[in-house]
Amino acid sequence: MSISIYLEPIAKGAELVKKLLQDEFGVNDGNAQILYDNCVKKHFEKFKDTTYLLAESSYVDKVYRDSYYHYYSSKLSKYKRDCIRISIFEGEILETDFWKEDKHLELQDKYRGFIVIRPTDPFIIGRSIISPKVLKTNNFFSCTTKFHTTANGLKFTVEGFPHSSQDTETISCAETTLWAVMEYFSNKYSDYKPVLPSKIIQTLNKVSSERQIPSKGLNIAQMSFALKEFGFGTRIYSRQQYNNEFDSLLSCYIESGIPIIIAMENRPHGSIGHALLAVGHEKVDDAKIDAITPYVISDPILRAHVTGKNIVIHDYDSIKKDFIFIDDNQPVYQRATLDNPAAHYPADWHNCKVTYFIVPLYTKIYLEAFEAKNYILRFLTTGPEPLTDNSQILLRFYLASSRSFKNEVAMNATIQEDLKGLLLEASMPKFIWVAEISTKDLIKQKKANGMVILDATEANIYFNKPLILAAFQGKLVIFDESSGKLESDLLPLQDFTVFEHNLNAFDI
Amino acid sequence: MINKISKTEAIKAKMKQEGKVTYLDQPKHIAAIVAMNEQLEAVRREFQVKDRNSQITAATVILTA
Repeated sequence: MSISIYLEPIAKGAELVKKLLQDEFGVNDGNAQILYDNCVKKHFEKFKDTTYLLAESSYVDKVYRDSYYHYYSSKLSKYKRDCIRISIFEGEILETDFWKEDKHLELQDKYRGFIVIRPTDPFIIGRSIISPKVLKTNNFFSCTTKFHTTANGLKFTVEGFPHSSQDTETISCAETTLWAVMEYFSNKYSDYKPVLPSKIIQTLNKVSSERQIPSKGLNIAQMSFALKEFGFGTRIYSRQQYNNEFDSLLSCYIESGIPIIIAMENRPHGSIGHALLAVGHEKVDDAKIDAITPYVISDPILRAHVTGKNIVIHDYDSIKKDFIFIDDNQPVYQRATLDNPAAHYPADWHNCKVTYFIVPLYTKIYLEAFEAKNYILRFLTTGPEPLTDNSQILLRFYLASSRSFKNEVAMNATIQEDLKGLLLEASMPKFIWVAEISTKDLIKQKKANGMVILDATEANIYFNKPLILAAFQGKLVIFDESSGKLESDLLPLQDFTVFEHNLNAFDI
Repeated sequence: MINKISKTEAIKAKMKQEGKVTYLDQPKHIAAIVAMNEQLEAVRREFQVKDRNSQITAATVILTA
């Protein structure tokens, strides 16, 4: 049995896909047109006009194969075992390029990922990894990682975020979201393994009182349980509980480069409950920074204290921006605001709101965002060495791996020498919370003039235990190693470039 | 002779020598730390309530669309 291979520009994408559906899956002409219009077209429309498509039949997709053997093969209807893989290239390529060694680098430069077409109509979009570089609009930051794959016999690498549509039988939106999270983390870090649909079902067997397939979705607690079983220290946040802080906590985790699971629903008035991933945000322009309003402190006593000292704090996480979603019902890298997450859906979805999010934290991150942010707020305003009166600051808050952070500090020529030495030689855990202290004007230049570093493994927030180092307003606050006392050292600081390596940018 | 290239000790020694070091152990500093602890105790209680309630209600929200 041989593989059929086709090469066409995206302008002929419709014709190509319809031919493949008819030839490989036995779909009739009318249905092939419907499937293309409903499922594939919206993906292709986002790609640049210079895109080329290389389609291969008889593709063994591991995710679909798993669903096939665990479910589809047991049905009366005959389902194909194989899929179609469509590889995406930006710019013209020739069939002869693949057999010339001197063309391989050029092909790799043009390679932009792949989409799998499954024989599970009408939900035919399977596993895909698409580089944001191929999109017509890609001025955003996103979590991405490298994936190794092949096309027409050659090995390629693509950087993107995993995406798939649900098949609604073995995987609904909830399971698809879990699969995408694990696909991302397992490719990025060796601590995690990829999970197939059957593994998700098997894991949730213990917490399900009914059969799990055909899937009827999962509740948020089940999703969190699954992630916990897959190796994460998950946290669940509810909008009803966290109120005004919900959006900023969500934003802070995104700024930390952690893809988070979002629950979007219009209940109790409607019946929609949908899971999707938030993996990034649009580029923040100066107008959005200017529009940030002062942070409103909920604690009345603290608020009075801060007001009395005429200290004004702006929270970078409060910026109203588009977030980047991986939604199995939509093309990859969908943009929407948190206030209107279902903007791309039909009208009956428009009243959907983000009501929960689940954060898949590394297990040793014991200090979570709510407490860490509140600690920093209080340290800066009521601590033993607080901000001076009349200070106006902007706080940018995120989690970072100490390895990445130190790497960037070492290469950052704008950080004051003594501070650089202290940062690089400070003992740090695997993950740290960083609060960059800046101003509206400075942050427009991607600069800050102070920082507070917290130990993310320190859940004990008393007596400044999480504090590793704070440097702001000409002083360094650090624990003296020999006496264990907190000390404040005079250390003139210069403006420095902020850390921006949690998320990746793709526009050139 | 073994060459030590870390700078922290030298940086701290220099700051001490130049009289730039102040220990935050005076009564006003201790009072500020104690006050911070009390505030953070309230934050922790608030967090525990929010966290627990988030978990409880999360089990009732089914995502399937």
